[in-house]
Amino acid sequence: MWIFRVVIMLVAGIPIFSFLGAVLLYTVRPVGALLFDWSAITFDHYLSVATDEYTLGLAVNTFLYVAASLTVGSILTVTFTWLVQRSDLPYRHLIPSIMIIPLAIPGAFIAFGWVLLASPRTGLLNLWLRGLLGMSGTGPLDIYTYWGMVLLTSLNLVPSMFFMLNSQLRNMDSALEEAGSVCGAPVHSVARYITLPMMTPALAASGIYFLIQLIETFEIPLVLGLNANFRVFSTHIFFLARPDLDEPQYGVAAVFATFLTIGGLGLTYFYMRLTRASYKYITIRGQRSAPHPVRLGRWKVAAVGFVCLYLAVKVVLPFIALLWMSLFEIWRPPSLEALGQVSLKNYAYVLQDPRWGRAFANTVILVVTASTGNVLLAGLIAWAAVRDPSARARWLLDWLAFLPRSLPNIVMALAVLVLLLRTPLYGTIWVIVIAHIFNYLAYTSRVFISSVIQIHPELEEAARLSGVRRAGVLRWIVLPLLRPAILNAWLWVAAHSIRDFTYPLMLGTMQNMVIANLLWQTWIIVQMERAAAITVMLMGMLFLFVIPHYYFMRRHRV
Amino acid sequence: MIRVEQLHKTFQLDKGGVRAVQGVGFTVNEGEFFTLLGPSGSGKSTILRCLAGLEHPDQGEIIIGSQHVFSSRTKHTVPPEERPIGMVFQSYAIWPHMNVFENVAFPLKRGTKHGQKRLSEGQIAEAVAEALKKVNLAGMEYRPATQLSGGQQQRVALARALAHRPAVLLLDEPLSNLDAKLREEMREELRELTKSLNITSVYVTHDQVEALALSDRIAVLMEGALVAEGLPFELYLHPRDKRVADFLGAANVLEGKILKVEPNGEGVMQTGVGTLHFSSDSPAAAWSAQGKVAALVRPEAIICAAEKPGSAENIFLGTIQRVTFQGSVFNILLRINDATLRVFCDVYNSTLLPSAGQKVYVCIPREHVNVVGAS
Ligand SMILES: Nc1ncnc2c1ncn2[C@@H]1O[C@H](COP(=O)(O)OP(=O)(O)OP(=O)(O)O)[C@@H](O)[C@H]1O
Ligand SMILES: [Mg+2]
Repeated sequence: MWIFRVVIMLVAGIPIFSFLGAVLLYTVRPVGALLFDWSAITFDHYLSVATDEYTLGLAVNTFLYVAASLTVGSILTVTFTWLVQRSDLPYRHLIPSIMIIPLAIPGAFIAFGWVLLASPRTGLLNLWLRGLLGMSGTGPLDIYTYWGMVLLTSLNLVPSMFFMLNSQLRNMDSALEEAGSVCGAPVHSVARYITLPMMTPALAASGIYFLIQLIETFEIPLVLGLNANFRVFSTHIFFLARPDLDEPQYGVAAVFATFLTIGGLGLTYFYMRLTRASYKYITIRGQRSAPHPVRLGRWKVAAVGFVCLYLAVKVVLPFIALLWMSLFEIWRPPSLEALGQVSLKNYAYVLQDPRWGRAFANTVILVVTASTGNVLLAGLIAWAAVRDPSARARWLLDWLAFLPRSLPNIVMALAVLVLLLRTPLYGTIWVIVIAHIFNYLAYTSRVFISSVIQIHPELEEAARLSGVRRAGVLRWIVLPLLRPAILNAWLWVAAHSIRDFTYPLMLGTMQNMVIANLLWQTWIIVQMERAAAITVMLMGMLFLFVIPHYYFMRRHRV
Repeated sequence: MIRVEQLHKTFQLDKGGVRAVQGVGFTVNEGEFFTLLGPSGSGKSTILRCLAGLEHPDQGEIIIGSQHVFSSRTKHTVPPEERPIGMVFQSYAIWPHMNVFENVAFPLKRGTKHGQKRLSEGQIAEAVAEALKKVNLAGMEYRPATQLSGGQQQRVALARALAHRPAVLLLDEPLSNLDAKLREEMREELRELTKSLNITSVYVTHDQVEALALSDRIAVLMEGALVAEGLPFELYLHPRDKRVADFLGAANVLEGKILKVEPNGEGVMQTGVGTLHFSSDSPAAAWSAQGKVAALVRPEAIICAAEKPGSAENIFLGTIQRVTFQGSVFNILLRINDATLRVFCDVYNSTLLPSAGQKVYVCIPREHVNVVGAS
């Protein structure tokens, strides 16, 4: 057992700590020095970051962006969750299923879509509004602004936050709230004085969780921030490490990454403390009384409008804009006459591009190997983390698996970049594969831990007493019993791997490009029509994973 | 044959350790049905798991058959998959992703305990059918494991444990998840089966009725140590320890002082109910030396009558304080002088219809008085 434990810890621990170490080392390396060049140590990078006025502006920008997105996103999500769990909104039980669609849609998709809808000069909505209001020139909408970024980011936050809160509220015993109603408290008082305080630990925990996620948000600040002249930490690190023309400034990027790491570790610490304490609030019972829904009355129309508006802004409008864009060789404003000129030429052009073949093949390799590798590693970590006889070893494994979650993606990407830059791995798809395997470890190891906990240890002991060795027990008993969790985790990693931009953009070269790289390259040279076609195809591929995942989760109630 | 010597096991926890087993030793003979009986947390499962190899003892020797499976002296331990053992778990541990046939066939297909050579499909099918017939589950081969009742799961677990024909069968409270009726039925089947196979069995339970009914021999375990060992009726009728008497069924404990002991073991003692004659088969001299002793009397050993019985010895007059009708007996709580006495009065063999407040005579036959040290 202890050999297995040590091997697992090393396999998971060495890369994670090498990543961290590489970032730290680069903060004290002079420009151009190698990672293990000990001849010179410099604090110039820290100094330049500390003395540069730009740093303060960057910190303020990031704070404003994250705080506003989190606030708007939380308000929207709490409204959704309450409507689904506690109101008599018609068809409310369908909302969790519908939410799968916006959940699956990557940030880049709505960013591109909304650029097409609301860029000041040629945005479709602007054209339409200007016609309607008899205006000329530009506007009235402008997506290239701070508020544009906040709006799209918070819309993007809603689905994942919804699923977290929804399961927490569902597990809360509504009898406690009914007790409040029975005392004569009106609906809003019950919500204010009972539901909300009971949800507070869960809300705070998910707030911290999503704070980390917001700090690492990359695609929306990248697509919109360039024109809005609004940089946040994640995009700044990207432009430092992968500039178009200048030399990369790994040292300065590493200093910023170090700050983000410290912040991430601090937030994770609070998150773990809060989730431990929140068990005392969330009452989980086998037999729950069905919550008595609150009558919406004349607010029903407003509630339905709210749901429809969300879906329109998040899914329908960007999709229509992208689809329309992709179907015309030369862009035309939407009209019925224009439909006559619909063609698939953009798609044909993309498919004939030799880069597409390479990007597609690399994407397939990435998705298949990263998901498989991640699931294998996470499964073994989880099994060891549950079954290890030593409580300290269990805690260490659990913590190791959660560590990548405290590192914002951009930090992990920079770490992989500087660590593997001078190795033969750099420029191959395997750097991205390795990065993805570790990046999604926190989520998948949790999926496996909760599944392994449900396997009674006596099921494994009975197999050993049947004359089967440990390896056999894993093969014949544990593996088959974990099959639902394995499929769940595999599809989840695949769906995330295919839509991720951070790692491919940080680590990509002409050789190891994936579809995300091709899309970005096409987009920045303003070949909007082709970029739209690539986006539509990427969405198609994504739903190949998302739809089976959804049905699978429904069937197994994972 | 199983021999356990000086077994010690301490579980290390964050705050100190739990000394689950402290120097336990016993021997189980070939074909014997041996029971470890004790209250919850007394370390029964831990001992069984040490025998199975699932737990690593801190100290001790374990010999199963001719194999020395664990020795702290030579630092030698045989892993569970190589011990000649079949085990039935409290949770049954039926693998939910296999049907009945696959569960029972698993040790033959994937394990090595039946011998090194691989069995053919036909041999396996034959062995599984035979094992299922033994536990009265013939014809249920293709039921999914998740669709079995508790009793059926129990039988599958038993068939699986026996499939590779182990020399020793370990059972950890296998009947505790069944309802009362089924438990009684399974108890008899289990006894018959183990006896017909002549398999050496170690059975763990906290239920004294189960232990008395099933076992050839019982060891009583308290707080990680063996406190008594013997044949079921011996332990029940002549407990040598207050805690054992209490655990094996209801017992009246009458504390008092020895007044006189004859060399043949007959004697008189002073208790709360009055002077009590006893005849002890243990060295009587020892009792007179001790100041305080206790008399243990089983409630069903006491005779209860409305009129004064003929014999002159150990007759007391008491007042009924409470009566509970329990079907086969009246459970009567009596007050005699300063002491209370519990009496089980047979419903059919008694002319008495007891009620609270009534005065009745009781007779305590001297051969049913057990004298033990009152510590
Ligand atoms: N894995 C473990 N870690 C820590 N303590 C344990 C462990 N297993 C058992 N113990 C402790 O050892 C003692 C004996 O436990 P054991 O399971 O052997 O009791 P038992 O007699 O089988 O009780 P029960 O009838 O409730 O099953 C208990 O105090 C228990 O809390
Ligand atoms: Mg037990």
